[in-house]
Amino acid sequence: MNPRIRANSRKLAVQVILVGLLGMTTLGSAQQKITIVHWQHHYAAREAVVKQLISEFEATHPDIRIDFQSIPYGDYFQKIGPSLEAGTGPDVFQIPGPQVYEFYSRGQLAPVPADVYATEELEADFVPWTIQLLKHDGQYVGLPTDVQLLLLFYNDALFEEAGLDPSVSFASLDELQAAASSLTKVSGNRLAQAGINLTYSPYQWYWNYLTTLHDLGAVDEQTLSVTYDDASGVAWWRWFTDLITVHHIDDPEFLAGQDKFAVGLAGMDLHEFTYAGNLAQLNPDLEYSLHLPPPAPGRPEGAAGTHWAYVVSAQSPKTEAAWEWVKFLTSEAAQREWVADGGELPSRISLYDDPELRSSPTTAFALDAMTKAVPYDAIGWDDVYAIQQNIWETIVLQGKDVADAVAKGAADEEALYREKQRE
Amino acid sequence: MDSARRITQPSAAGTYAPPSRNARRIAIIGLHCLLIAGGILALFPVFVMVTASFKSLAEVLRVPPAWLPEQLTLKNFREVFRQQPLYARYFLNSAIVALITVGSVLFTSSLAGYALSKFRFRGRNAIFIFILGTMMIPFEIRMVPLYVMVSDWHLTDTYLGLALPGLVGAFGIFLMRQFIASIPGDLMDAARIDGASEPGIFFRIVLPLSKPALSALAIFTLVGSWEAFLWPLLIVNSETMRTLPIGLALFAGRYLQRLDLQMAASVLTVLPMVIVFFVLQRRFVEGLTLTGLKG
Amino acid sequence: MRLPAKNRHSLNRKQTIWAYVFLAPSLLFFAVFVIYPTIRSFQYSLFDWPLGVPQKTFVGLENYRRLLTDDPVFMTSVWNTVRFTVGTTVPTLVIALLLAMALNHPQLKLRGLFRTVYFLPFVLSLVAVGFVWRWMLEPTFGPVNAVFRIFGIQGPGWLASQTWALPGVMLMSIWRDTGFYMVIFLAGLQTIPSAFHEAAMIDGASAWHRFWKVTLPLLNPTIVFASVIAVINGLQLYTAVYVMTGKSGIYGGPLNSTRSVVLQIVETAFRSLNMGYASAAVFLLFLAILGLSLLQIRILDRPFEY
Repeated sequence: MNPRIRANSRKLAVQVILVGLLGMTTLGSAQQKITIVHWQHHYAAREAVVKQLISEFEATHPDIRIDFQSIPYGDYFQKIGPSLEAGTGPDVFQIPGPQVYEFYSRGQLAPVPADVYATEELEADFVPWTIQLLKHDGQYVGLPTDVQLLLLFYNDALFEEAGLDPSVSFASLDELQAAASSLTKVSGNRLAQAGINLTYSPYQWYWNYLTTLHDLGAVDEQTLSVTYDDASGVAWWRWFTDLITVHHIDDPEFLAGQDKFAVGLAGMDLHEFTYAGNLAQLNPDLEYSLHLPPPAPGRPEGAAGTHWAYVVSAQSPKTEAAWEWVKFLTSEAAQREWVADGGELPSRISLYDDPELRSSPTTAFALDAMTKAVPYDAIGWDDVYAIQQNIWETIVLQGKDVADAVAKGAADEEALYREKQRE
Repeated sequence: MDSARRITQPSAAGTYAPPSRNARRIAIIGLHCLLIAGGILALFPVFVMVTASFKSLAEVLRVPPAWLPEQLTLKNFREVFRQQPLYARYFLNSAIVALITVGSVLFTSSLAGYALSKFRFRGRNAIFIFILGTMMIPFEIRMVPLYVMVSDWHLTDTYLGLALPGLVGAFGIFLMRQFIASIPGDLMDAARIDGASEPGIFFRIVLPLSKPALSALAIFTLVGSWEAFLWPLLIVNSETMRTLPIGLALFAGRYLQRLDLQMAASVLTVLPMVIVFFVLQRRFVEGLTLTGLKG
Repeated sequence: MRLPAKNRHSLNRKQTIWAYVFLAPSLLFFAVFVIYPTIRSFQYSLFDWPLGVPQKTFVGLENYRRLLTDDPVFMTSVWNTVRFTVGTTVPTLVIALLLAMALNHPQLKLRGLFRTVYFLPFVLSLVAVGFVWRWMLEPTFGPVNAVFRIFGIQGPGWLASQTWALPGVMLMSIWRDTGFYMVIFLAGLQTIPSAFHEAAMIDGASAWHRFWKVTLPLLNPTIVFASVIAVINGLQLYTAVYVMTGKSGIYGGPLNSTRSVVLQIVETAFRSLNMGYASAAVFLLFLAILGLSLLQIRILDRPFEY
């Protein structure tokens, strides 16, 4: 073939490929239906429920399509913030209740339209503490989801093996520590079984106890100061870190990064109610009991509760459709699925005495415990956790003095709140 | 020979006697043994990764560890695809981005390299030094403004957005310039006299003669594009547009407890490059040689 | 063949035009996607700019001041990054050189096989390698401590321990990169004409002497090249710590012991959404890279006589 023609046809081929690639590069979704982009942080059980709800919703709303992204927790906040700023964010997403204020004050949330959900109706339908954090300037900017209580899980078999009765709740922190010590097994000089699955995820302990130690909760909203830097707070931190440093009921280097309770190598675990769903997936044969965590000295029985909120982006051009979807996500029928398959607790008052939900003893226990729930009220989420985790690590890993570590952590947390305030 | 004399001096102890035959043989055997031991160390993690991908989670967690899997089943691999059916799509995404990047880099680098080595014009040296200088600018500096630009132009979650920062590379220009400089200029002059156009000369003379450098550059760019992590992490939000490294990181991040699945996913992720490596082994190493010398 | 003067001039003009045409795509790219963002980045660094706040406040060099004197976490990240860079570059290059010399030995058998085996780790995706090592270094059931146990040693806590987390990441990095530098050194070694070695041997130099006076000086450009690249890569540590010590939204390892500078920059920019502050940190990183590279070239690149 004439080299010139060959060269030309090759050039043509290159051009065609380039144009084709360029065309592919700006692929977008078909624009026949309204597409609502929905982001959620990943949790296996919740993902399954959302997918089920999507198919139900799309069946009854043929003009709406939901594009669902389940993003791992570690990246979730790193993506939400910048993408909302850049205008490429989702239409519907979930944020922790304590963070709603931050997003709202940046003007990033669209309130519920009155024709989708009137305020009076909303307030009559939902449990008060689950919507407390969602009302700003007289309007609701989110609907609650993922309502959780922090509960103590017992491994029945390990309890019985240690001569303990897994049906009995602990009345005090000391009782808990004593039981944990007897549930701890050592082989040689290394841990073989942890009394409590603690080092894997200590934040549940911070949330539960820092909130229930004082009537004001973890943070005094008026003065933006934390409550745990007083004597009772330091005493609790000391008790908590002593579990590792003195009683050795867990070790950060034992099964590092693994969930010891799920593999049956820990006697107890303080975890959100949804952990029951996780266990069903990770280790369905595990037999466990649920209890309220024991109160700190002088405090009433109770547990901290947390919730997230589904919110709609203020930049979304489809707020009506988006809020329809959010309302559906939190409807009574949907909440039944959330409880049954997603390991959540309902936020609607009507479901509290529901016989179908109460037929599961685990759920019934949690529903009763809800009456003693106190909402976790720090102003932030991962950033606050990082500060509290640092307190724990400096004491446990570095041997820092408890009072000093707590004082520094409290100062850091208050500085964080001041910095957020100026925004 | 005089030159050699200047650098070597007899050892202080007097004349040097080469080691005996036996000593040398022992040394050689020792060397081989050391290299084999080192090779085992080098391959140990690979061995561990592959065997774990066939084990169940309980086997992986066992103490003391079972070095070989009890059964050779593909169930972990099946589970990975079940949990993340898009895994094959991740591979496709990486491949498309790599294709765009390699094409663009080869094209622009050879054009610029040719201009910088075979043309004489004012500012040539300044431009070359400028381009070399850009190699010193780490990606992280451009990261945030590039992110803002790409978002403004709605290029997040697109192949073009993914490939954008890497479309032109100073390193490639440098490589091609060095190489093309060694092509005799007479060929091009002759073609000009024959009336060939400049683009024609480029496509029909320079490019074909640059094949060795082009393949080396192609391999480098391919590896660089395939391995990119920070940029894709920032600009890809949609599950369907993830590249392979991001896909693996996010998958493993979701299944931190499931080491068996993590290892299976890791094996799947390294497979493409390993295959490419074995097929193009010689070119790979040649490419490194080419650049190592020029440094 | 010399053309008449007038033809030469128009030829030169034509050459210049075509040269710029060929250079245009690249130069355009650099202007728009390299120079412009760099300038913008520097501009950002002079402002206090938390994302979401419409007002940027000009603060001049305040961000830089704060980073260098008032930010212990940033200082920790700098220290970690420096430790990582030094702790990986030196062992990697030394081992790579030794391996290259071993592979260059004329009486070595199976050279190709050894080269493949040692180079293979470098071909594996860094993310995959990170997760494999994350598991390998697990203190209770990971293979590394299991091997230690065979020899009766109790392995350290690796990624769960504040003293051993960074060494764990370094170990992975050395393992992965050594093969790459080995191949580069091998190429460098093979360009040394054997005439030099022979001459040295005739002159009665021992193997040790030969190494110091012949091999090393002639290999100098390659060593400088490898060293500069290794340091630049080391300073940009990110993916490895993201993958190996990321847990529950915290990526810096126990007590921030694996927090690298780039990790800190990315989190400041995209989590705390403080673009100005992050940009200042990035410029400090740039200055470090530039400075260290020039320093290495100055110190290590020794001209010598043949």
